[in-house]
Amino acid sequence: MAVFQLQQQWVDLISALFREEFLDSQFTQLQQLQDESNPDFVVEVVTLFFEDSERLLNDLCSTLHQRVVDFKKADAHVHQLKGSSASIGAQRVKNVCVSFRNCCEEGNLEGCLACLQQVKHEYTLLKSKLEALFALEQQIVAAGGSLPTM
Amino acid sequence: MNCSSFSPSEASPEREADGGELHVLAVDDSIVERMLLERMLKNSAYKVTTAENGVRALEYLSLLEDARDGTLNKAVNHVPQIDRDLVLKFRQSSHRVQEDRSRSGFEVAEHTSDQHSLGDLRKKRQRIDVGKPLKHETSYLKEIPVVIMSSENIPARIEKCLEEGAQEFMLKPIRQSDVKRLRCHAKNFSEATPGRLCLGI
Repeated sequence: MAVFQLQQQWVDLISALFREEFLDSQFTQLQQLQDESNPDFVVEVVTLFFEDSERLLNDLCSTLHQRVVDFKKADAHVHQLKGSSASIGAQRVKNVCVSFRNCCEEGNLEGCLACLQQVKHEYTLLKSKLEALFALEQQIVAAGGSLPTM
Repeated sequence: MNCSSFSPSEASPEREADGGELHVLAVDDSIVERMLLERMLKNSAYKVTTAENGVRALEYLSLLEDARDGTLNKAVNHVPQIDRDLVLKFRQSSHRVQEDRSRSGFEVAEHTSDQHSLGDLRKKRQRIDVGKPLKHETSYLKEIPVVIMSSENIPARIEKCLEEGAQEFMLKPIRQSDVKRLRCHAKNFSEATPGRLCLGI
């Protein structure tokens, strides 16, 4: 495929991510931090986010399935996830975390479990879309092109 | 890529009037946020050290004090290790330190991951003994400006932090433009010192 077509696909994909609120303007901040001296910055931060989030989601799952649920502990995990998702512009994930925190504060186990499912769902969706975006970026660079500036 | 003469990646290191480089200690328990902060600070041409919690931050600062007293080699050998291990948020309670000069450390609000709210910092405040007394009553460490960052916008808590001596409060997520503003808080110390500014949550 021609570089131009790949670049167009990239623009379409990322525009959709913003339009569908998977990403917000904080992600643009990340893109702006990437330059010739830090060409892989976005991938590096997002990869770190994936690792960190998966750890938090596992911890949350475990915390919420204890015989006696420690809601403060769960809240702490959600707060961390909310913070890191907000920092990279993962809008939908962050929004679920807001509701999730409310459930933790209320000690609402059913609500928490529902939020956990929802946040896992949003996270998985976001991850697959960003991985597709990064794969496209690799193709563009391999074909000798550069990423369009938004 | 067109670079203007003020492109961040081309900026020369920020320098104080005495020629020292501006150095920021960034404290945050989130590895993702540390990475972002570091990049943004470096883009504004600051030298950056990151810390993952208050204890680590204090350890680093106490090493800086060693360096200032001429035990520079020790500080240099330890710094890389601390850079890897550190991640903390801390809040320096400058008033307290000045009141009681016999104390050996800063009052540190221990930021555990389940107590991100600034209001809880008061309850969790504990003395962290850095292992030895601060060498000078008017140690420059006490003068390091502190900027607090939080994802929660709660006026009463923010006010409390500012009353306790923080220079500014910034709402997270932090943007490049927020980091650029830090310049105004960097202090002129009477002598050249390795530390300039502390950034904490």
